[in-house]
Amino acid sequence: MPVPNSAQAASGGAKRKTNPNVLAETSESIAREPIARECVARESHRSPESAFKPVRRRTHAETLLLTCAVITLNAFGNLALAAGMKHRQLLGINPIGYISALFDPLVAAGVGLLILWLLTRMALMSWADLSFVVPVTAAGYVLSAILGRAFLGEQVGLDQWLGMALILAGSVLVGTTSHKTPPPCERVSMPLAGQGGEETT
Amino acid sequence: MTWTLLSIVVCATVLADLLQSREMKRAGEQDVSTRGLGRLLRMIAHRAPLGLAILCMAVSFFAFMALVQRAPISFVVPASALQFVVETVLAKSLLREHLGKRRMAGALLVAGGVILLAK
Repeated sequence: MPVPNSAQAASGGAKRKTNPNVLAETSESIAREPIARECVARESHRSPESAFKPVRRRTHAETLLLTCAVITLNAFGNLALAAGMKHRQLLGINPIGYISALFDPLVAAGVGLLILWLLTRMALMSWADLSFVVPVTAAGYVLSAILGRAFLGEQVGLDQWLGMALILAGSVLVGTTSHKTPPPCERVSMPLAGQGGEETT
Repeated sequence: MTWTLLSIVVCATVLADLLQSREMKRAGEQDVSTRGLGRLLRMIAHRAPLGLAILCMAVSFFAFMALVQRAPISFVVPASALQFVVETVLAKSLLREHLGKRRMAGALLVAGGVILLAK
């Protein structure tokens, strides 16, 4: 194991594959290319652990699978919370009401599912664009309405069915678009990518 | 008061999502294993913008609760459809995401559907 030189030590050693030539090259290109600087900045924000793993881009199918998990967690979390809160009195500003509600098993399950929802949604945001995540996960409105009708006996009228159809159509439409805009460094090497409204799945 | 609460709900939600998306893209693709989720929890504690995003979500939640007590749900839900349009536009201008025609059409369909839901 060779002793790392000072340039490597200064860069933290863990941030990038440490090859002095590469380092010198990137710092030169930083001076010239504003886009390259952004790419290096993105890389250096990666945590040390992920820098050692080969970067594997998630496939579209994997992204859609995680999206389904996010939608399901949200819908069932909300359902459990709503079922647990339905027979309780209205909550005011008194914190004791909120704390005692947490001891209701249904409410606790709902809160747990919603925490899982938050974390999986964060992971999804690291895989996909915000403009992909937000419309596609809106399909959760549809699942929530169906669950509400099935388990809580809530009414669903014609307008609601029509609205749900529109939401579903919109989220399926967005679901067919490429889930991630390539970072600027890759857009430079592939000048045609991301131009002219091309959308590949 | 209604409009103030409504703008708090929309702004807080949009800000929370923008911050989360920006931070998560910087962090690189995260695992969804038990360890991966634990790491995400720790990230919320260590990265200030993520903490701020969670705070915004809480603000948005309580403002939403206050809003539904004052205004009919047929006003609240369609107004929250605004969030889909605003977030899509800001994802393009601030986060530099590529919006194709299909994505914009999809976002508009979703917003239209949410408006119909509350009728």
